Amino acid sequence: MLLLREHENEPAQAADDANTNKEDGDRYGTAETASPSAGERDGPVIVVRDLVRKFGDFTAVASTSFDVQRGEIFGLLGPNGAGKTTTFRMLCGLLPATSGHLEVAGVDLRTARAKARARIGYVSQKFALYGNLSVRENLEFFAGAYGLRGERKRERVKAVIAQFDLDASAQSGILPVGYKQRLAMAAGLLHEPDILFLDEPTSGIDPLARRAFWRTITSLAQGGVTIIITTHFMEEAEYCDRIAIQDAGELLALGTPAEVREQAGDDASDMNEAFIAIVEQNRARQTNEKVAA
Amino acid sequence: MRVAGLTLGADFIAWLAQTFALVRKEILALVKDPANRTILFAPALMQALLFGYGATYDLTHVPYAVVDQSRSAASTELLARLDGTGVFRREAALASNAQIGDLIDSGKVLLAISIPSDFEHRLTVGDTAPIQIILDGRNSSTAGAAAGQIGAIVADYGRSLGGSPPITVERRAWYNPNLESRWTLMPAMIAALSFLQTLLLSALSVAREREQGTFDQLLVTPLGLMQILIGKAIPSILVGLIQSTIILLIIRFWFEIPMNGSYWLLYLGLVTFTAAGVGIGMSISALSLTMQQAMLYTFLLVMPLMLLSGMLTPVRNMPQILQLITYVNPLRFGIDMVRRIYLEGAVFADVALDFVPMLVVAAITLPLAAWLFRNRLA
Repeated sequence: MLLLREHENEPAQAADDANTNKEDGDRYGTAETASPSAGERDGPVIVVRDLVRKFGDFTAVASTSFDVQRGEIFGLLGPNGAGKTTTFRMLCGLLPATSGHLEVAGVDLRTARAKARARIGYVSQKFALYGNLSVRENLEFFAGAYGLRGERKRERVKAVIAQFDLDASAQSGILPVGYKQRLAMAAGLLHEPDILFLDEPTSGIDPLARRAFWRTITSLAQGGVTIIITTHFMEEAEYCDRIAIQDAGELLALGTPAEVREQAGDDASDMNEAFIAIVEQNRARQTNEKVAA
Repeated sequence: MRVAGLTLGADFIAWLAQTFALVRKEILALVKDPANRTILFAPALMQALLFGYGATYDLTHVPYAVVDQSRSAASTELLARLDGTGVFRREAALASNAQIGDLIDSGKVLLAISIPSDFEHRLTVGDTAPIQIILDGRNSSTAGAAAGQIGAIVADYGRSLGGSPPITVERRAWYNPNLESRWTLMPAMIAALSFLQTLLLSALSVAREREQGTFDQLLVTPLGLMQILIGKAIPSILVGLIQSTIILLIIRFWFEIPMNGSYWLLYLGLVTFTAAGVGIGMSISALSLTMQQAMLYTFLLVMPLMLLSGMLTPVRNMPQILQLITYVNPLRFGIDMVRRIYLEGAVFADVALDFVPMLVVAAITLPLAAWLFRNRLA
């Protein structure tokens, strides 16, 4: 919402592209080295090739490849244990890949210099801020950790508090779930990241809050922010530009929601059914293969 | 582009500002957690007092045996003064020194006083009159304090005799030739008492974040591992120093044990010592997935570290192999350093060797912890 407002304030004649590029320049021109995004603005922001993650004998993610374009809302869908959180954690640099190639904004976040991480925002599945600190203290800490200082830090903290309608002095740990989720979003957006990672951000919040949340996400994407989101709400998949469906570590479907529904076959009238159809087709095929072998 | 204009200095200031944000958060989180608040300072205060009185409590009941071969007015007078304190209780009057062993072995008496047959004769001719005290060295601190008190009573008696030269007290501690008195135990507390809690606090610092899921949120920020390490270590070190200070103040002003060394040197030593302890704690923390695990590891480690510290039993009396192990124990050198600065007034050159093992432990464990933050296999 805030980003939208910012855009509204830009001169009207500026084309959308120029607009976001300018903002990019403002935002990262002050970085120590030239922004890595400069060279690949038109290429994919996230590149994943033959990504594999094993835990001992168990393959959590089997050879997975996909690209995500700038400004895209990319959904990782799958049943519990499908490997979507593992994929997600590898993308954020929290977990090393067993093999394969992985690039986020041109670097592997796990081995990249710390500054590369300033370009991403992260909202985890469960509330992962400091429960005994107040909303403001949490935001000030994360602003500081992301290198915001002085006037800019005050501005950004104030801006996200207003944007997400938060009570600055409330203790974070005892906020209702919906507010915790808003606070987590606020913390993830303080530094105006290029890429926002959201791990099941809408689980446990009510439909109204979910709709507000998706409105925020859509406007961020319109502002050029790339969104990677995992979810198990299939109707939410419709909000994504493209989705990937995973089961048992394998990538079963990849494309726009319409393409994925098509892949599922005629009887899939909505995403829920498409999802079930795709997962079941795959499971049946695997069982057949096992029987054949 | 302002890229070119950025200097190393500005980068460093930005780096420091980021780190400071973490230090601030850690301290806030520490003092806002009610469970933390209570473990921070109350135990240091309580334990210091408890140990202080624990070490002196037995002085109200000191059972002793006497071998009075002099059987003179002077020896009777001296013993009467001892009994008059209400502290020393004469459990046995023995005929010869050979009988002392059994009584001390069985723990019936804490010490025995042996007065030679020529005691009064020597006093009257103006010679020095030696008496011997045999102490149970196993009960070192109490025995030491008791011996000190006997020494004072004897000296007092010696003065009351007027022109005579003082009576000399010859001490011999059994089972522990290097008798550790209360005075040597208490300064050791400056290092030892804060050690447990500093270790526990730092061990919980990362484990708590892992358990509550906040550590991932921290790892995705641009904070470097070194910044996370510093940000987490500084508050723990500060708490350790504050605890040491509380204990120091109690020892110095409540128990009135005189400080002979330099406070600057003492604090330089304490910073080094605490950093080594925090390094161990942070390594434990980086290895632990939950707070419970971190606590368990800490307690598993604390007992051997305490036992092998030389606080209660001298290191040189330990088997060779255990003596070697003590070199990785910062507590051993921390206690030695504090004792020597506090009691002996040691200068830096005297305790420089104590710094080496502590610095080595800190230099290994702190970077190890930082590496483990990210590389611990989940």
